[in-house]
Amino acid sequence: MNFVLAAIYAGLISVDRFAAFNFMLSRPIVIGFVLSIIFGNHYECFYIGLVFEALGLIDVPFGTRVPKEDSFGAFAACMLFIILPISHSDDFILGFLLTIVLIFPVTFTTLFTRTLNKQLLQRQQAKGKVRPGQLLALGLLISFIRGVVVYSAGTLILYSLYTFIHGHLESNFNLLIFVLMVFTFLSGYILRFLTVHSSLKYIVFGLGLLVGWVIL
Amino acid sequence: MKNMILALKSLFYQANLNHENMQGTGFAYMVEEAAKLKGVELDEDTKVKETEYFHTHPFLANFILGMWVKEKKIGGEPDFYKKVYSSAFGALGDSFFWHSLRPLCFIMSALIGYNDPFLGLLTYLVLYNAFHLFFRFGGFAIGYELGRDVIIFFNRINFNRWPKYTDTLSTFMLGFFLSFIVKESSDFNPLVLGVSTVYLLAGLAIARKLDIVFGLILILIITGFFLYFTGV
Repeated sequence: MNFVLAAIYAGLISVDRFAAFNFMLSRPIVIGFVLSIIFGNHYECFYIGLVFEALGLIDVPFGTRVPKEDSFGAFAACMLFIILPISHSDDFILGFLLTIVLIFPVTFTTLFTRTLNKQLLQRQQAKGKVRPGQLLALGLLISFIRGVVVYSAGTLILYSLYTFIHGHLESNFNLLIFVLMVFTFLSGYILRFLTVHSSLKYIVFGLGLLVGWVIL
Repeated sequence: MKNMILALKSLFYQANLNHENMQGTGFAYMVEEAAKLKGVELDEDTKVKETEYFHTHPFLANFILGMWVKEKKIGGEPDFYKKVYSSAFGALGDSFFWHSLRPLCFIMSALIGYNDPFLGLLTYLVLYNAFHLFFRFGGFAIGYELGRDVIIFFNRINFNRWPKYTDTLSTFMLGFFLSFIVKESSDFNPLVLGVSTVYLLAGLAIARKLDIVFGLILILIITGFFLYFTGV
């Protein structure tokens, strides 16, 4: 039942990201929260969401640009580690690397969806009667199906690749420290991305670090 | 109530997004609905014309819609201002909603949701959608009231300054959040603190030179080796 819920959620992610709502159900950190509510692996999902969110924040969908599928990254990586709990910390590296590779073909399917939408529009234009309502309904359906099919297939491919490669490297180091260090590195990207006057930025950030350390 | 239904319908207006007319199909659909609402008659040629290229920030599209219907009603130049405002609102909306509001919501929700995913989820969705839905639901009425002068509303609320304020708050909260997770994960461990500082500086140094995906791949491998050989 939980997997059916996850598949339906995958469809909603795709719709929310490209076709309707824009409620941000498709943000990686939100995906981490939702999947951890469904399956209960809170910390793994939280840290995966953290890293993919940092990755996606920088990739802003300005104009007609298609951003990388950070939502798929978070969804597939969370699902992988829900199905196969982490036994060694290098599992995490392998899972992350494979997910990053799969993000590219999944992003490409967005272009396919847009092409399909374009063809539907052109077909109606050729017939001389454009029905916007019908096109929107079809677009919504295509986007939902894309989410369910592509995300599920992508997760399955990730799972197969992972189990095939897994087992060749077995070491055990501190997982939290690992993700923490990766996120700290990505924070440098986020900090560069935020548009605040340079010196003020570092003063405010330093103040935040200090206050966070003293208060918490 | 009718404005509310129109705003709800606008949630779906991007569904036919494509590289031919971008959001043009959605805009044509919304124009028909909005014109009906305000008792404006549209001929077939106008309906077909509105399916042409249109692209703006989706949360601000209703402002343009309201302006368009008003201009149409008073016999103004709806399509001229539609073109003008679509690019202006695209830039305004992108820089606030995509560029600035998302990092703030992310950091706030990560901070609050660290121990409770439900609270984290709620924080992100409420914080983000408070802004999103305010503009989405208020847009048509404001656009219709101000017509071609709809930009006055954005000037009045200093909207072009919002990204700056939000980014300043996000910068502070990012520092706060980093301290929080370092403390939660390792408390006062000089090695981790030292290495984290180096990582942050490395991220800052290469952020403008290397794409984040390649940066992430590189740091995943380096960190794996580092932790493997130091036995942390």
